[in-house]
Amino acid sequence: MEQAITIFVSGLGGVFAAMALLYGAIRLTSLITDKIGGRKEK
Amino acid sequence: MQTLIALFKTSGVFYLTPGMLIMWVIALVLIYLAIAKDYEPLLLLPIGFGILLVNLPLTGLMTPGEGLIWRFYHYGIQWEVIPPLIFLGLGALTDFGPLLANPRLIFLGAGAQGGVYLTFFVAYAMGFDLKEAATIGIIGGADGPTTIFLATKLAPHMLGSCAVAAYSYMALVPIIQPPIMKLLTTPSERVIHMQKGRKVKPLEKIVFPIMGAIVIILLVPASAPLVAMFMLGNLFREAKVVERLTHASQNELLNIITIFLGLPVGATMNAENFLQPKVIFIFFLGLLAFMFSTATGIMLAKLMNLFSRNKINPLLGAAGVSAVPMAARVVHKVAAEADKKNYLLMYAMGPNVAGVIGTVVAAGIFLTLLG
Repeated sequence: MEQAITIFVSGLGGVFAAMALLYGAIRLTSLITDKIGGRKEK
Repeated sequence: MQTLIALFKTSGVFYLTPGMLIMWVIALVLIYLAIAKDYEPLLLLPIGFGILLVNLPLTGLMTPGEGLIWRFYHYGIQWEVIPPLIFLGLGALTDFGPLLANPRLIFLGAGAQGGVYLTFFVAYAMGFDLKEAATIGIIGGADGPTTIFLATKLAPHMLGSCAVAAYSYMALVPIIQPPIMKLLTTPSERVIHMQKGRKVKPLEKIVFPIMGAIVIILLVPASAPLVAMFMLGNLFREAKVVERLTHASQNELLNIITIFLGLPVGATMNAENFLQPKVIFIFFLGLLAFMFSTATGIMLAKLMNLFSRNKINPLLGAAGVSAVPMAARVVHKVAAEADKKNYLLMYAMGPNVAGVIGTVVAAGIFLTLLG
């Protein structure tokens, strides 16, 4: 049972961690592309 | 006369068992549902036919090392070739635009995986071992190829039943999800209009599959076969310089691979394997997984609303299960019932594609911990 609880917690935590990193990656990409776009417009 | 009798004895008729006949009925029901009711016909039709073939005696189609369908199974599924190629096609078909326009919706794709882990826990408590429980849990991700991928690695004896459960319930998403969605949301929540997302640049769409592959594979290397092909397919699509490859991934390749996926999956379901009390529990738990995933997605959206000024329509949480685009359509339909002017389809596609990634990550974590 202990192993099942560990998998439950670490599994769900791992999924959220992956999504949080992806979220960060998306935001970072949008920031960089916005900067590039802004520079081109100038 | 004796020759005739001898010939008769070599025919399959002599070796038919009641179990095989029951499997014929199951095969014919699946074929009927695929043809007459349009329930996931691309998969349920070859799966149904595969079940029928493997329950005809003396064919040797699934004899290890010799049988035709065994070769499809061994080189296609056991060697991990077919599910990743399916993901290549899915990647080429996926538009991440709605997700990139509303990036916070990515968490709803993670929220829906709560159902996967809850069901894993319930299945384990019911007496399945850890690997079997993980395979049952992943059904809640509503992603057929991922279910097949994980089942092949962790519980190959449950491959057929889990795949059929996953594809059957995916076809039943419009029936399973709406009551849960209505139960867990108030009328005032269902009419929340989403704020328009930001405009996504083509460059972002190109960068996302590259960045996504790096981030997810670094974090969960076991998910690499599926994530790598999914992101490659998407890169083909967004780069817009390999139209032929994109077209082939979306059409010819995906269609051919689908044939070689369905037939051997069905052929794993012989009477001895399938007609066991455990299978009933697998189907029950598979349904539970779908319901849990829908519920946890919605609950996460409600939780996010507690901390957010721009409210999310909690119905979007239900799209966090991967069944693309069915779950997104269901969200749109339920929202439109509450307010005809509320168009949620494009918003729902965000968590819907995030759900695909979330399910692959969940499968990768199971593989890392149990494989």
